[in-house]
Amino acid sequence: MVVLRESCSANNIDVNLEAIIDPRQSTGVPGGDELLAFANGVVGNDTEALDSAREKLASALGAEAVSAASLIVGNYSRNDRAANAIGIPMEPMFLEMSEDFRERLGINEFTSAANSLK
Amino acid sequence: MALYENSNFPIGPETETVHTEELATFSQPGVWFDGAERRSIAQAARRARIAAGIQGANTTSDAEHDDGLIDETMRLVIDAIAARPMAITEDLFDDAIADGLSEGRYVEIAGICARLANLDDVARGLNIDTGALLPAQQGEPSRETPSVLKDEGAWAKTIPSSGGGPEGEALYGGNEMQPFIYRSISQIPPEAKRQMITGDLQYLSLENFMDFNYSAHPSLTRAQVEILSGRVSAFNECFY
Repeated sequence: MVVLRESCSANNIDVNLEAIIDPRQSTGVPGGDELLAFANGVVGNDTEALDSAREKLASALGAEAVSAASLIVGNYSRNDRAANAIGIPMEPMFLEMSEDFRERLGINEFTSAANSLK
Repeated sequence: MALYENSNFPIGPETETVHTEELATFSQPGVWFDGAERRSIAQAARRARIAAGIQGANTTSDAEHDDGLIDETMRLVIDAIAARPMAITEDLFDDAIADGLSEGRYVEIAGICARLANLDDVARGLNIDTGALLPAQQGEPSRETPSVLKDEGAWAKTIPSSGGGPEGEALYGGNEMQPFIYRSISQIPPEAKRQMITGDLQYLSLENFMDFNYSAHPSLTRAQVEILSGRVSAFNECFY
């Protein structure tokens, strides 16, 4: 989320980080809500919601965006599993850069937080 | 049939080639498991995802077959990593080691389950069948443990990117600031190498990471890419 905030800041976008935790909220990023719904659909267990999200994403951002979004979701599905399975800690720089929003968003309560906050 | 031939959404030839190679690795001899065992681990990972409802009906039928190569300790590890990554605690690792699974075998299982989830989630996103696992290749596992493994603060030892000697140089290409995510499964260098190859291809290469206007995907801005990565990591409760 540090990189999300920085990339939005670089483009004068006021991003709502709470939406990443609660996807019922709006991100403030163009196309962001369709992307959130799609990501949620791919990793979640509601196939109808995924099918609907895929259609809406294709309509909003195009067929190439569905391909790209699938590749990004898959990439993080892999990385998250590797990180959580091996118990790697977060680098100090990113720990510091995320300090101001982690507690507010409940990220410090993630089970895997114990690997970095020990 | 080509891996993405039935996709209504375009996937470039480089990605299709790399993913076809990626799929083949699950049936090839690894470091601690032979081809049949690795294939069986991949099948079990798919079964766990189906049982959890996160892998739909468009999964190839090869996942249904259980050839009995997975013991109970391995199954618990596979189920957790494949289907419930948000609930993994250090107890999973400690219990597996206490039950006789070596650290190297644990890490190799983690690599297989994580990398397979990538391919299978891409297929789910594209609304196509998952790629069929290839028949197991003959051959012995290499049984090579890197000589430079260190306790860098994770549960399993890793190859450091600074001071990793020739093995670190070979794996990280001389980058002494390799992020921990790419060192996570480095105890099994071929697994870590595949993670980096697909990471560069699907997300971005490390030299562009701090360029917050850079996106490797023309159809998405960097902010849009990070919306996706943020949501997936929040869902999986990945603090990293």
